[in-house]
Amino acid sequence: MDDKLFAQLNDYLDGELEGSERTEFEARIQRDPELRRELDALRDLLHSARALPKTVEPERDLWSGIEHAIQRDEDPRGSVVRFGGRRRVASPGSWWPMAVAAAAVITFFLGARYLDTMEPEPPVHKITVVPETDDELDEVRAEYAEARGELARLLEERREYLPADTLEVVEANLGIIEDAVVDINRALAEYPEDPKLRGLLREAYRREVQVLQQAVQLPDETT
Amino acid sequence: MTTVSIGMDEAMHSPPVGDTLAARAQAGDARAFEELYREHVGHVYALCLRMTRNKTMAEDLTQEAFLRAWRKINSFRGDSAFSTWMHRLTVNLVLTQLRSDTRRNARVTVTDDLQPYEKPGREKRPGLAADIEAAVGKLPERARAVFILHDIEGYRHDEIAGMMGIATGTTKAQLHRARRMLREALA
Repeated sequence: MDDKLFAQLNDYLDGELEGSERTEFEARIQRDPELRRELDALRDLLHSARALPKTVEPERDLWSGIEHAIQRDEDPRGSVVRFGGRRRVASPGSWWPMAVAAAAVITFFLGARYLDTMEPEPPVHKITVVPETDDELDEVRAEYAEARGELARLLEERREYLPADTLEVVEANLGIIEDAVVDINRALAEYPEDPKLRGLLREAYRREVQVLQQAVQLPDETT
Repeated sequence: MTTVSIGMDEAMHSPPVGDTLAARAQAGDARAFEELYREHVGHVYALCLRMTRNKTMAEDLTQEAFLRAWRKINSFRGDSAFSTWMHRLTVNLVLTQLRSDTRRNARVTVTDDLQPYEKPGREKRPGLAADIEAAVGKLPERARAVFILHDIEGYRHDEIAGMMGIATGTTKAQLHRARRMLREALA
């Protein structure tokens, strides 16, 4: 069926054909068995689509993350969030703001200081899945430790051959990321179920491995 | 009720603001907002999951949607049902996210919340929910978004066009494309 006829068929189904155009199309449906079959099939499809469940419950309760974020919010007029009738000020001592700031620093500094000294990004390391459970988080940490250990060893072997200013940038960036990892892990200790923190940790690990991968592939100073 | 409203669930209709959970939430009552969350999370999550095909992203977007709703709760005037307001906020959030590249790295195949993510076989009866969900998940992003918003959620073309920042002619073309692809996949 050509696009124009298919479009007309859909407009008819959606009640968008009017007057003589509608009448003529209905007559055509009567004359054309194939068109009628297509109309019936489309109608079935739309009926089934509209009957799909409108709600799907998430596998885990997402409220705790929302509640934490609400508690972190501050009302500029000085009012407080009430839980169960008790007045509670949004928590000022949470590690969350530092973790988010740390992630922002990673993004900004690596973008601003790193890209003009490094080669295009190598393939992404295998740490790509956002850990959802404690076991997965431990697995990500183990993968990171293994990758980081190997790459750090390789970088150490190449240290004397790399340009000094480049090495300085690499080590500065690694320091930024390592500080961020510390802050994020502190936040995770306070909010272990928070998916954003888990995602930030994964991203920080991925960035560190990425920096190390690129650093070990840098050409020697003499080349 | 018009055809475009068929997708809206009557059970989610909320009474006017004045003496409801939304009014209490507007007064700063987070427990009332939690009740709103419990009432509407299923619909919000289903929308996020269908649009993104990514369980982790859907969970993040669901939380973000409710957090934004909390922060903007005073902008809810009560001239529509809270469910409608919440749903539109979620749609805008998801569409904005889909336009961004920030979360394209983490892809987790959706196999749990919807039917198994498998190519529908020709031996299955067309129109089965499982086949449709899987086929919808395989649509190109824009076509999928328009199909979900129009044929599942019940938005009009002018509403979808406004939310997606495209012309109604484009939303119609995308819808027709989606329907044709689904017809071929489910034939």
